Amino acid sequence: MDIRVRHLAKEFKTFRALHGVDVDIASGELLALLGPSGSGKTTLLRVIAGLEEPTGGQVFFGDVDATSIPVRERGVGFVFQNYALFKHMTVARNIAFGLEARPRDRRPSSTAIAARVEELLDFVQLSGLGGRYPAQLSGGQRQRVALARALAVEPKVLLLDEPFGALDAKVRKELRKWLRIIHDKTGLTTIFVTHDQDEALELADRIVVLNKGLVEQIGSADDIYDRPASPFVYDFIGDAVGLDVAVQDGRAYVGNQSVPLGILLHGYGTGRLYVRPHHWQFSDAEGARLVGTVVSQRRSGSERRAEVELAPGVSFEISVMPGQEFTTGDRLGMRPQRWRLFTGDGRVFDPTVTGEPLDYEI
Amino acid sequence: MADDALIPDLHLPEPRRLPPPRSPAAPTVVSEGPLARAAIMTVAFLFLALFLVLPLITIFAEAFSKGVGAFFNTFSDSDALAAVKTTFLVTAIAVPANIVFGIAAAWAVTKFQFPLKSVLLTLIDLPFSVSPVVAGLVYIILFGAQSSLGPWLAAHGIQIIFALPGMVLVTIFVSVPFVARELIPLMQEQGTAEEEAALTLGASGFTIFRRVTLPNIKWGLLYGVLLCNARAMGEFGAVSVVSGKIRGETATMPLQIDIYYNEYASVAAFSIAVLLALSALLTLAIKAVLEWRFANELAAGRRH
Amino acid sequence: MGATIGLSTLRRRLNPGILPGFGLSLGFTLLYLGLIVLLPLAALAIKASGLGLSGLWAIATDPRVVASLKLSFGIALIAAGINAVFGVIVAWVLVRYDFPLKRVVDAAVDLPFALPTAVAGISLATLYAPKGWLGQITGLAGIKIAYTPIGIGIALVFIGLPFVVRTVQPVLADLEQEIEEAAATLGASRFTTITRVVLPPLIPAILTGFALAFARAVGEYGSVIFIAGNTPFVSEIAPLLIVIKLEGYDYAGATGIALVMLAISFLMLLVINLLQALGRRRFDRG
Repeated sequence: MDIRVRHLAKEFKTFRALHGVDVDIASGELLALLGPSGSGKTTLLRVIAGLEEPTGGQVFFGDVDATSIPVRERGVGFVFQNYALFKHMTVARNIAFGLEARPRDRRPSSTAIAARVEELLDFVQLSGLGGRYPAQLSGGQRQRVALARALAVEPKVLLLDEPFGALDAKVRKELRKWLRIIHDKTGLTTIFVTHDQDEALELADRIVVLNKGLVEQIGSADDIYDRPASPFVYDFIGDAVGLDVAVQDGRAYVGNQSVPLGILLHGYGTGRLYVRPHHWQFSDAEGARLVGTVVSQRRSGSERRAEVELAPGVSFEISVMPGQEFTTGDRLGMRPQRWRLFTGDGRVFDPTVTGEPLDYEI
Repeated sequence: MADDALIPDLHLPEPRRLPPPRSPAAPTVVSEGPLARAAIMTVAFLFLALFLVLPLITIFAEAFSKGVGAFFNTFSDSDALAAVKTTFLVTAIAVPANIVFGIAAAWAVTKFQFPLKSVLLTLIDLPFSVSPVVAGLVYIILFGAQSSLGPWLAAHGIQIIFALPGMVLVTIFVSVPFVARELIPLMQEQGTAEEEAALTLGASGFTIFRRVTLPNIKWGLLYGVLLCNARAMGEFGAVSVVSGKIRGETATMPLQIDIYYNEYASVAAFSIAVLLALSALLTLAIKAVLEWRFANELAAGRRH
Repeated sequence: MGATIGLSTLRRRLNPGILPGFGLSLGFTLLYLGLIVLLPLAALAIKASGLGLSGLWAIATDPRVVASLKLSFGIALIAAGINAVFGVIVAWVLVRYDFPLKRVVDAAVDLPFALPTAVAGISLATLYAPKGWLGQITGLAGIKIAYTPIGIGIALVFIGLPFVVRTVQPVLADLEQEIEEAAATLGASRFTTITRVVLPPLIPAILTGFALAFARAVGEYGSVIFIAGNTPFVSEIAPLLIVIKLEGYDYAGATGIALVMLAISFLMLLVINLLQALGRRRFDRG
């Protein structure tokens, strides 16, 4: 089942959660909705499920306009953030609920329901735990009951709201792989919401990055990480340094130094230049480098970082490669290997995909 | 499933997060000295003995002051039996009505957003701040013989004031808030996630209420019903104003107590009082069990 | 059909949420409250407006009415004050100390809620009558309780007893004892700690309990009339005067007194809500 979201808007009493969102989701795709809290990602998921009525726009399931189909009949499997398991029912009853709630003429026989419950318990590796109550399960087990319950009604799409949010780090990583396996086995179109970029990058076929109710970027993990479409995506995904630059005479200036970008810019005005810490190259070439002073060094996980100051108040971090040794106070010449420049008037430059010609080697 | 081996074993026990054990009554460095402690406890217990224990003992002592026979003799009086019957009849109508109202109001208030919700909440609480006598009075003004509805009601042979319908109506009025007030905070705490989950699984509204909501609120509902019932059975001021206190007809147990007491039939009055006191004690016992055993399934601010 | 369409557009406009039963539950709630609560109160308002301002003024300033209102409000205030003091002490004992049968004592505090007022009334009247157990004792000291304003006060203390205990108890239980330990490490005496560290956060709860007890006491009827003596100008409470006026078919007089009492009750309700909002704002640890 493919899903198309068109100009979707949702206003709550006090704020606008979505301002016209368009997303196409292919059948069988595993899609992540990624964004900070308040970005509208959960609202988007709930509107697709039919748990919220949009104030504008449409949701298509295949060719059918599903916008006004009530959630009961929409055929979505929804896994809630805190699972929303029925506390007073056993695991088996939870899983059977959707089948038992069907009108009599569409309800399977009780033996068929029992068989389906067993099958699903087996599928989520909880065989033998059908008689337990949710309170007697671990967080990861509850998560899988919620998934089994959602799958029991044979949904057309599977929607998960922060599926790993309530779990600790170790269980979270294991369940991540497991969700991918479930997705591949069922072949369901699956959408999940997360605020964790690692989760989205690792798991999803494609990622929708949301910010303040607008889509910032849609793309594969590589697209999002290597070619962020906006300053927001740069700031949100991975480490990056943003430098305020002035664009004039084809060059970008930080203070009074020109940044050796390797291409000729056009236009005048301000902009913001993004470079990831490991995309700085050290250079001795006179005139084609940015010169700064190492002011401090620190360990960051597996690598080391050096803080480089260009001018008082203007500094950024670079990665220190193995074998390189700096001392505080060293003067460094650098040039960005990969970068993106977003100008104040909305244009984007980068060394490879810029639409603007005039490559110019300095 | 051939590729089960791919699936990691996830039967990991979840770390239990219990609050650090601390008995609130355990002596700590910040406790009062033994002397101050004894003084405070003496004051508290004297106060409670004076205002709770002695009145309670008095009821039983007076009822049995002329022996057990005199106590039981009260209930051979047809007026006393009629009063018991009337009380049960009024309660049996008023309490279910307020249960239905309480559930509907709690569902509307906690499951939906709409404007002026706080006004509605205040309105639900309003009867608590109206004197019972005033509650009776407003019904007399609305339905009494002197009201504009009065002649019409009389012409159609409908008697509300000085009859059972009026007593039921004022009883409903004074006990309106109890069930709703217990359910609203409870359902607010529980949120709507389970109901939404049931909805995505295709359940109808009635199924959702019966199979998901009701099991979650049953103890809270019982708690509210208990308080509502106690108030409905024991209401005196409002009912006495609209009942006309016709012996054997419109006298509830509290009204019959008043009648006996004014006739200096002290034993009879206290005998009926014993029944009501026992019912009050039973109410307190069930309430205490609910608070103790099902504290998590009652609203956090469950004490009224 | 038209009504159905109207409801569905209204629903869309309000956007209340997607769970079923919005129209049914809210509609029933409003209808029920309208018929049971608002309609009778509106009837009272209409009746009162028929009296005119001068008519109301004449009723409200009648010396007997003034005396009964003064008595009702005055004694309710004193009784609520007594309950505030002892309620805090009882709450303290229930939260902080361990003793046998604590659960029973805790449950017993709610007795005045559960015991019908008429039962409490005859019991207290008997207890404090000149020949009653306590009446005999106070009689030795020359103090008469039953059939005097003191008796009214006793009844009002009884029916208001649970309010302060039940509002203070949960707040006191939630109070972190660390703040008291902190005060102790800073060299404060136990007395200073209690008065300057423990009591201030309890004040909104105490005031709320006080206001609730007061509101209940002002309108109380059943437990009072048996012990009060009901002498005009001395021990006749306002609710009783309403009943007396009703028995004399003086509906205007009853309405006038009821209106004054309702006005003050609503004011109390407002105060209680404000106090609770204040308590939430100042002491909620979000």
